[in-house]
Amino acid sequence: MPMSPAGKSTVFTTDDFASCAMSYVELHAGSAFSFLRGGSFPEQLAETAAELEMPAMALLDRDGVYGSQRFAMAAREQNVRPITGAELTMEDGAILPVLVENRAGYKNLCGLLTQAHLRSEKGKCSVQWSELAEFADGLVALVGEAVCFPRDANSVAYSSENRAQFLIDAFGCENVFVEIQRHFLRGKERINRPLVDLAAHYRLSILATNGVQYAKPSGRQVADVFTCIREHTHLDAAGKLLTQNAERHLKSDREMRELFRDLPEAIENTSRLAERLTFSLENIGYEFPSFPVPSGHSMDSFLRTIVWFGAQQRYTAVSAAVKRQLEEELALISKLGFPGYFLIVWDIVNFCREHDVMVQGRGSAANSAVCYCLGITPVDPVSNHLVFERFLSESRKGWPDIDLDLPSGDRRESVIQEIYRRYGKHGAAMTANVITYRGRSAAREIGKALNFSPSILDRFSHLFASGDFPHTLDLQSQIEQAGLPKEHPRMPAFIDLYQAMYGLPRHLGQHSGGMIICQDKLSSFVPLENASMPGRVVAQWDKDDCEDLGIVKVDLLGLGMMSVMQDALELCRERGRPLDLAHIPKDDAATFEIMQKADTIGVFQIESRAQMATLPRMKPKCFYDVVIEVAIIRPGPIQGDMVHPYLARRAGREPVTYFDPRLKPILGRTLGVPLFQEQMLKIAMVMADFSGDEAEELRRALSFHRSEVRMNKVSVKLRAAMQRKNVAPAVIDKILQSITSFALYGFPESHAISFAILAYGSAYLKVHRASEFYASLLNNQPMGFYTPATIVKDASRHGVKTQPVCVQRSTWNCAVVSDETVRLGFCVVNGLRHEHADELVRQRQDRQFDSLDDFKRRVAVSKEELRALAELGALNCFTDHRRAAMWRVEEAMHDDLLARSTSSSPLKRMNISERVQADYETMNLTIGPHPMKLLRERLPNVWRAIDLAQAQPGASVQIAGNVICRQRPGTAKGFVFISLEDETGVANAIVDPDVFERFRLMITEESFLLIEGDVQNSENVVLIKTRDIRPLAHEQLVGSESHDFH
Amino acid sequence: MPDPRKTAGEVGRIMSILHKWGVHTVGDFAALDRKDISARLGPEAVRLWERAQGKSMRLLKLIEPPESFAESFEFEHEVETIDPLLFMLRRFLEQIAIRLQAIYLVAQELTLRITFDNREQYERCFSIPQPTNDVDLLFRMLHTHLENFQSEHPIIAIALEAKPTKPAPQQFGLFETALRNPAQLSETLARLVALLGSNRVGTPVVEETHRPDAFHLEPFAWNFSPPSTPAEPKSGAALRRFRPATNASVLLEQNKPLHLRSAKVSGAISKKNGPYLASGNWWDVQTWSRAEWDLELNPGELVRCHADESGWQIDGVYD
Repeated sequence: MPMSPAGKSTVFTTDDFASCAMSYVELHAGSAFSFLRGGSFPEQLAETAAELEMPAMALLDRDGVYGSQRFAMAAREQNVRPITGAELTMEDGAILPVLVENRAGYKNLCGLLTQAHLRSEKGKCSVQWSELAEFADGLVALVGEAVCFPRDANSVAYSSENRAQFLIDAFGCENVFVEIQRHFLRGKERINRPLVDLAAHYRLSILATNGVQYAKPSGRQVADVFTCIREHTHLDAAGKLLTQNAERHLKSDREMRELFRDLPEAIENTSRLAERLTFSLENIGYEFPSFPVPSGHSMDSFLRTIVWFGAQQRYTAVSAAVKRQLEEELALISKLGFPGYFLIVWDIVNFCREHDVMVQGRGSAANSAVCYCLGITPVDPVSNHLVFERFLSESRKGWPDIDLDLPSGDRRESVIQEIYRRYGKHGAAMTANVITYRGRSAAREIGKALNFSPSILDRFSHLFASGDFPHTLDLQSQIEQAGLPKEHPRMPAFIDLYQAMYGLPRHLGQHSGGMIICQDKLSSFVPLENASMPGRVVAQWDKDDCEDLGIVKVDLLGLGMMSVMQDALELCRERGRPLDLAHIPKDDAATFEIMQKADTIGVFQIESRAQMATLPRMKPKCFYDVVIEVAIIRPGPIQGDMVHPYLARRAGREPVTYFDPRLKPILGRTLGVPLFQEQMLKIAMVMADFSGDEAEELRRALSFHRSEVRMNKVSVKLRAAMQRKNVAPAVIDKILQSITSFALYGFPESHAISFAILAYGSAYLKVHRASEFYASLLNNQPMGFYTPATIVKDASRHGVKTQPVCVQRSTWNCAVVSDETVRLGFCVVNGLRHEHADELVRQRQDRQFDSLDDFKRRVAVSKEELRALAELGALNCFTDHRRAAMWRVEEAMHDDLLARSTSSSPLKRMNISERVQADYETMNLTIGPHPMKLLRERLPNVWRAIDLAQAQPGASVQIAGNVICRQRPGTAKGFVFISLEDETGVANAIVDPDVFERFRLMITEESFLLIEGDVQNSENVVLIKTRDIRPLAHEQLVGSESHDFH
Repeated sequence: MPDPRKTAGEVGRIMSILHKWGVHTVGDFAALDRKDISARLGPEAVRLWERAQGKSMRLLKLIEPPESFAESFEFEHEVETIDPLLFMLRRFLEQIAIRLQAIYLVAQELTLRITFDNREQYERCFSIPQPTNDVDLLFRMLHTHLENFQSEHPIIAIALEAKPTKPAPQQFGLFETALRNPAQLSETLARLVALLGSNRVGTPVVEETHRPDAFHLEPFAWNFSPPSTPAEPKSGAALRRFRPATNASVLLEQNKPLHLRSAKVSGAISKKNGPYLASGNWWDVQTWSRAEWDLELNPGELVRCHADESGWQIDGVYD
């Protein structure tokens, strides 16, 4: 039976804190994970508790333990013993704080919260008084103001005495404490006196708490703003809803003793109770489900059997190296007790295969030969020289990380639902994704609370639609641009609040694919609640928290491109030219040719503007070049100033050098430039003699992008170790700079290989199965960087003709007519319902429509849908032209016995520009000419995208087109990239920060632009350096939507 | 009679279809067949088509532009004293009153606009409690306001606009008393505002805030609103507030009051409760913060006092 890896850690004992006994312990504090109630991160609370020399502290978030793990981690680091608890919203509005005493109590708290959450809609929770007794074991209840005198209570049926008696009956006398809070408020003692009397009457202990809502007094401002957001009001109107003072912060032992001078036992009781609360999240007793194996087998032996069977399938001859690798891996897996985990993932992969769902393991699992033999990953780690330790090592805490890529949409959902089916609603859940206040959302909510005019907030949203841009404008200038004068009396409050609220949790979402499962009820380890998506249950912790607690997660990630590829392969099979991705040639010249020309619209990963700008320089010639290409355009390598050295070395313009000769074997494949996480770990091992443990710590810091502190700590260690080994200071700096840049986005080589397989596969399909590829791409929209309009134009440039939607021929999906022709499906028609289209196809299968009247009679589509079909030409099969069909669809239907004569249409045919406009209005794409072609004659000075390669570098040119992409990469120091599409292709412009600020609104709002600037041509990558921008306003210009600032 | 809103929506729908049909002119529309229009676009479209054909007859309705009761004047020279303004305003009022009388209307509101040489404008709206055309009365209202009017820049133009209404006799309830002379009241209020400033005249309203005794003034309105429900009686001794609060000197020992001296109450402090801390409006310049104490003085007097950024003040004494 595998033991939870987290269980191996040290557990705090009360003896550890014996020296601090009788100090005040805060036993009632809430963090920002109480969602719109607390004003501080759990980490800030832990830090302040440590500053105040508090030996222990309890975190009680509202209706959950959302912040408990983060709090526990931070508190332990600060030498503060974390105590777990929660505030429960009761059915009548009362708030009951409960503290966890032991593991049974924790299990009960999770069970109670799960029960209360799952019967409520998302975001709501209401515990019934009657169910408390069932879950009371191991919990301590606090009876205070919020229980006896609830402010929002909708029932006053109980007196405080009744309430106390009820809780004593449920929890037991020794587990109920009377909670007294003092916040320097007039009238507070009128509430506290009866509570003291109540304690005396029932012989209950009194407990002093401060009902903490923020770490430091300044947190009160955030708490007030949260009150406004919660109550849908603003600070000027909130009145007495706001707090009276800033006293709900963490207070020292001295401050609290002074406050409770008349009740010293209330202070003493806090440490006495804290001593009793021994539960630690470090050992929640989680067990991964065991896998049922055939009789006569243990999980170990069964895994061994199927791995060796898989090895014979995967390798034509199992070499000694492979044998050695497999033996080593199997031994370690067995030693760490993980065979069940591998078997379960293998089982999920088998389920996918059996149900025709394409699946591919990604991430560090690709470093494992066992995963390769089990069919989990497509990468052979032995031939690719991948490091198994990156995936699994003896010193590694936590479960190995196996992520499965699945086709997005229904196929992935079927796998998720299968896991729910197997493990039950309480046995499996998606991990949470905490949505935080950032950029526009923070500024907007703060602006509303400060009662700024809606016009300022709207303008701010438009100007900064694309998130946080600190590169060129600080926050004050941003809000000034939105119309708030610099000297506005509330400007300082806005700035302070923005900084304080940035990153605080806003609400809980669900992670895109992370699922956690367990042997028993998962709800015994973490509270579960409903997600907004029907049929989905989400845990209260995010994936990092789950990983820290040793709860195993399987990432079932949806990739649009996998869906495209699976669809395309199915189409190939149906059309009699099947293709097996596993066996396509890895050295196809035509595939590399389109990559070298950056002709990669629609290709996985390497279709972005930044990738396209690198491809002609990189000129991939083999599969490993694609792996590097995938990895090279990442915040990590760019921040580390690593891209250009690699390309320069590759082109022979710069000599290949190494930080140190010892690194040659590690960095040889990447010409001396560290590009992969594995290389970082190896550098640390070689240059700093990092042990497996330390390398593991480095790995965690590299992939743990939420903690700068963690990264800094490792960096200090690394520097010291290298100094001890007498590494030159300049080399140390270089190595550290490369490593810290990875903290933002570590990219393991194995991951890059997995992605490169998809990139190469999709490029191969684009070249050799173009019609199937484009049809599938259109059927899986929205996805990727480009809109259907751009994809259709790209198809046409590759000789694939697109036929229009036709009610006599189209199906819901776009279909392949021939190797060079794709028929648009009904899925591209705006507003046409799927079920109506299916009904249409069913009717047509019964019998072809013989006339428009026949069609109208037999297919129940709405008038609007009918109009759209006529307008885009789908009814042209019954009439001479689109307007003739539009004329006919407006006729009322009569069930006359005698046939009526219908007049022929007096309407004129649409001209080309009208057709293009109608296409965009009804489908967001056109198979006719590009709108720019219609305008070309009127723009004699504007260069076509295709001609730009001939322009002299430095020459001043004008380009114009439909804005299909605006990007402002965080690493580009405020530069903006704009892609303009015309009838010949895509032209790219670069806008410097000054020009961007001058034309900000025009750039973000206009769909067609004319850009004037100077030509920059570097290794066949043409960029126009923008000087001037004008909107290209014309009534004929209807374009597709842009893919912005992703 | 068709509902005009429905008709407008219907016309919009028809126009949108015609636009997509490529029918952009009245001529194109008129050229279509009536039966076809009827079958496809319905009766409203037929009505439009008949109009386009010139077949339907419709009586022209005389729509008169609304009468303007506004007068304005640009001075040839910049004005720096009140007399030329008053002279022009009296003339404006006479003109406006004549025009209003001619059509049996009275003024219910006057808007005065003054333009300065830097192109900035000052605008003031006078609500007339009992709508009237009495030039003297209206003039007095303007005069009172302008008596204390000051500006940094000379005046280059002036305008006056009256909002007309029908003279309506007011019927009061049996036990309600009417103001004997609303105009007089209004004028008195205007004089007070001119004398004290607009933020110091009106009806005090208690603010919904934690700041003790906070209130603001709302414009005085003569109405007969029913009395609000009586506030719940508060427990504890009643506080007799000093308004304004009285300045005091307090001797502190370890940050706690020991002795109090003021013009109204003084003495050594025998018992104390507090501090009660309150603060608010942290988000703008009106931020405030205070620490309140309840003190028992030696003669047995109970007082409430507070300390804020301006020092110690006594809020009142308890009964």
